[in-house]
Formats: sequence, C-alpha cells, structure tokens
Amino acid sequence: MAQQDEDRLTERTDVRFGHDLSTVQDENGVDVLLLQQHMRLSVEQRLRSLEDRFRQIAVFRAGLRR
Amino acid sequence: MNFELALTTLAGCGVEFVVVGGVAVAIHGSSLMTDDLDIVYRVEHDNVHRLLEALNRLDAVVFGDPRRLRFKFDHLNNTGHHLNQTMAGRIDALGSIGVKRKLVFEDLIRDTKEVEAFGVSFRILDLDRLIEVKTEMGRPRDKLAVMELEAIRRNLNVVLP
Repeated sequence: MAQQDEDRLTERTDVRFGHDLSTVQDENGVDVLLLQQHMRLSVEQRLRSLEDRFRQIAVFRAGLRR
Repeated sequence: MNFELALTTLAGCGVEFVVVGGVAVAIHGSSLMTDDLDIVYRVEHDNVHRLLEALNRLDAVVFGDPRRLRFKFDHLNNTGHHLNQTMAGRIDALGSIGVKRKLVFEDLIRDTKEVEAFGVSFRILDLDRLIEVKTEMGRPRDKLAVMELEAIRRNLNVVLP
C-alpha cells in the first residue's frame, strides 16, 4: 500500500475520532485496517491470536449455556 | 486448537505436509476464524508411517466416532480425507484436495512457501494458489476467504515475517 494511503488510514482511523468505514473497508466490505494489523504480526502471533479468539468464544458460549 | 502442539508434533515426526485451508488463510493475514488444521500430506509409504506416528503421539481418534477408533496405515495410505480429533484439536489429514480434479501433495508443493513458528518450519500454500483453491471450493466461507486474500494481495504487499 502506498505510504500516502497508509498515512490516510492511520489519520482517519484514529481511535479518538472513531472509524471512518469508507476508508477502512474495501469495496467488498473487507476491513483493510484489521488485515493490516494482522500483517504486522509474526506467523506465531497470528496462530496465537486465532487460539485466543476461540478461547474467548468458548467462554462466551459457556456463559450462554448457564 | 493448540497449533504449537499440532505443528511441532507433525514437524518433529518428519511428516511432509502442506498447511491448506483456514489456517493457511489466517497465516497469510486473514481475520477469519477456523478451528481445525487442514494438511495435505504426501501419500508415500514412509511418510504415511510418519504421519501415523504423529497422530498416535497426539492421541488422535476418528472425528465424530463415538467408538474412538483410530486411523491405521491402510486408511491413511490413500488420497481420501481423514478427520481426526486429537489432544491438540481437530486435524484434517487430507490425501488430496480439489473439486474439479484431485490435487495431491506433489501438485501443490511448487506453490508453497516455508514459514516458521514455535521453533519449527513448515510449508503453507502460497497466496495465489490458496486463492485459486478457495475460489474453486466456492462455499460461502471460501468466498469470504477469497475476498480477504485478494484484499491482502491487492493492498498490503504481503511479506511474511
């Protein structure tokens, strides 16, 4: 991604101001910013992240069953 | 899923395999969820023995079988799909993938790249081939994966660490 686009994403998605979806999502609704965050992780971190998200879902499901 | 246990056991036993499916999609940077590890292994006598050894170390049983049966050499020594429930989670050991025609390990190996995690290296389908395979599969979740993978290819200039 061009540096100019990256700067724009960073500026427009500053958490203090909320997300401007039109600059974060592509034409298919894919969250480009989220993908960019994933790309900064190592392979091991990406796999750990996947495990963590599943653990969170398991906790959530267990809560629903109670 | 315990990816560290699954991948270090497979690599530690010397199994020749390629990670495909959702985990390969996630390693390329997708945010989509998956709860199993899909691998295409080389269907060759010694490699099937190594796979069997790895599955035994992981206490693998046939997925969904209440009798807790285990795959044996003859079951694995073909291009079918072998779904396992293991102590590391679900591992789908696939002798082949593909809808239009069966793609075996040898068909895929040229379009893979080596990655490292947990102190071991292993191969995953590269981005272009993964998009091709997922497009051919054509299920709703595959279409979602293709959209993310194309966004990665188009916008993010992917460089695996």
